[in-house]
Amino acid sequence: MRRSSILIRLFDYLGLLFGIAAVLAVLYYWDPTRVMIKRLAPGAEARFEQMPKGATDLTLADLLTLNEAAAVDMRRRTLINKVFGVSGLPLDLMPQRIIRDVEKTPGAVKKCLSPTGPSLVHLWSRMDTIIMRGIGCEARFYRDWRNLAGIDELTGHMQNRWRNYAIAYFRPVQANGRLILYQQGLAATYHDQHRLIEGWVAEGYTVAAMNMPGYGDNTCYDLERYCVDPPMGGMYDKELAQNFAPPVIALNHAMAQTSFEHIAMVGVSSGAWVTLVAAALDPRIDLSVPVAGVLPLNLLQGKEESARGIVAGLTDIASVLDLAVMGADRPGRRQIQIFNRFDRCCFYGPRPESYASDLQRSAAALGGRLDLLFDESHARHKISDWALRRIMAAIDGGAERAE
Amino acid sequence: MSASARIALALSLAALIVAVALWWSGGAWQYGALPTRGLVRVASFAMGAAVCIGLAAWIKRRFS
Repeated sequence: MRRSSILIRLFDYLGLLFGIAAVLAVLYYWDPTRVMIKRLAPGAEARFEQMPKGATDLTLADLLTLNEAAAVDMRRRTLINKVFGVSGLPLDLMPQRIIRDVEKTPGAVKKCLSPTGPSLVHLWSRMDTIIMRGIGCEARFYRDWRNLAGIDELTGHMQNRWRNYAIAYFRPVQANGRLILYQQGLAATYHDQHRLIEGWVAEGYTVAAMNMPGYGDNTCYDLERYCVDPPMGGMYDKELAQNFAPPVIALNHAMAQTSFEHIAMVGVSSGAWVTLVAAALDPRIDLSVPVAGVLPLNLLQGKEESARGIVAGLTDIASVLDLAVMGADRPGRRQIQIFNRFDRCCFYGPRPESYASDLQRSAAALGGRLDLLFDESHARHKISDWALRRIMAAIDGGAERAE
Repeated sequence: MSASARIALALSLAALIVAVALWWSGGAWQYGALPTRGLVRVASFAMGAAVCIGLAAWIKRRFS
């Protein structure tokens, strides 16, 4: 056979291999087929369907201890004291600095690390720059969002040139009287959720978006912008305050602008843990939705263990399950915990089923409502359309609305 | 064009069209039902197939 015909055949077959790979890539990346692949993978049943040993040994009597409103109030005061060093929620705590309309006038920013815009950033940028995306650099990409009046940056810092926070406050032109606090988790920033926030703003929600400490603007990387004011210091000069003060500050700021009919907080991954605690601390949050996170500490495994650090010192006062009950402790308050059953990262499987009914009963006994939902529509670590539809139904209908 | 080349072209074109449709209908972003990264992967494979088939056709024209 001539060499050219060998080459022709070789490239033909190589082309066929690429064609097959393209088809397989669609199946691998599309959520419904990805779920099927996950379910058929070796060890899938043990991982996603079977209850692990520790889950059946939970002593719920030790983890669910709140059965009357007075006990909840007392526990809340102790928690607030632990986080803020005062006996009541600091309702007068406001941002140290507000930069209005950052989408139009971002002000001076240090070098933008991922100047590619939200659509391309995950393809063209390195991870260490993706997690440092700041609103001063990104806001211009949001300028043309439908119904966006402006984005305000609420900032402050707690320790001298250390521990700052930055909240992006999205104001709609036509507001619907509802506020959504969005808390991003680790290894990402809320900029990754730009479509989610864009959709909320278009529908008239006011949105306050927050990152975890150390991510996005929550570092003193841009020292001049974030960390030169005199620090808040004092009782806010500690890690717990850096985690849990921003939702309170965002809410205080929002309430000072206008009154809101409903206040919801949504958090994903580590942000789910912040959401859990924020709802336990602040009864103004009437709907809280921790997504893809939040399990009793003795059910954590592998990389989930990092969540212990977020609630360190708090779970001595109230267990994770008690914290959940505190977020749904009265009529009109509701918590929806959403778990991605086939999550490729963490917090997967049926573990919450081992305590779901007891947890729901505890909240119901106090007049609140607590739901645990399992999202089986995908196998990723995210808020899916399935979850979003349920979240929006709860927000639009108020905390009491049934599914 | 050989049968295998025709199959390769059909597969890669179909995969690309389906991927673009799924990506677009899911909001055209990283957290959609088909993430941007997945679309790029599919497009790369489809392009790889097209390049190989194109090379085969060129060799055929050039040397036969």
